[in-house]
Amino acid sequence: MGQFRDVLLLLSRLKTEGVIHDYAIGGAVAVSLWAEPVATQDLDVIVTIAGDPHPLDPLRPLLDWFNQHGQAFEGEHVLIAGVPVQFLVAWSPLVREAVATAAETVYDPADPQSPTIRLIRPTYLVAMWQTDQGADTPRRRERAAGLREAGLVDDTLLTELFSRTKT
Amino acid sequence: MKPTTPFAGKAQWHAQQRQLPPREKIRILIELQRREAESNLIRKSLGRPAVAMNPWDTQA
Repeated sequence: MGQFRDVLLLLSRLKTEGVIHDYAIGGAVAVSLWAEPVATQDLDVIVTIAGDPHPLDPLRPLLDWFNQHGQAFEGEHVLIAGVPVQFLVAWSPLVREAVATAAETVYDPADPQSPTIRLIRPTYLVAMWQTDQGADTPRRRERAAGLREAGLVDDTLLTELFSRTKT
Repeated sequence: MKPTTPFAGKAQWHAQQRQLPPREKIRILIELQRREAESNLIRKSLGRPAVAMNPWDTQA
């Protein structure tokens, strides 16, 4: 059985080796780590790719790296240490900004050797869900309400992000 | 008893949950996946729709 920290170590390695420019965890796992844990099926990792990726196949450098290193694929996921990971290329200026401004924190404060984990900040999660067509689902609205209830959403920043996205 | 008392207790519990370190939250997340998978077995046995859920084969 794998360990979740191995996922974090591999993400860090991808960045160190220049396969990706940067990454940040989004989706329900990010919500779980900012607020309270919820059951979710996969781990969403949003990446920015180094260099000039092909617009029709932006994940190719990453997929090639996984193939070269014998990483297993399972449908749309890469199986890392027992965790199905869905890699998504940052699909808009807002999402690229969300990755760039992600919060980096220690995964296990009790372990001096702990890897770090990069999380999209709550206000950006809410902005992404509310501005991207198709992402504004009842479940995401519920998660956004949970982040807001926990006092994790910066309304001033959210308004600014909305105004920038709409122009 | 005023209804605010139990709700205050719940709010405190939720606040404590939010303060847990990331590794502990991942441990709980995996436990929730397992419970959801167990609930799916019951749902299926009753002919009710199940929720897609395969627990991660990993440790926090």
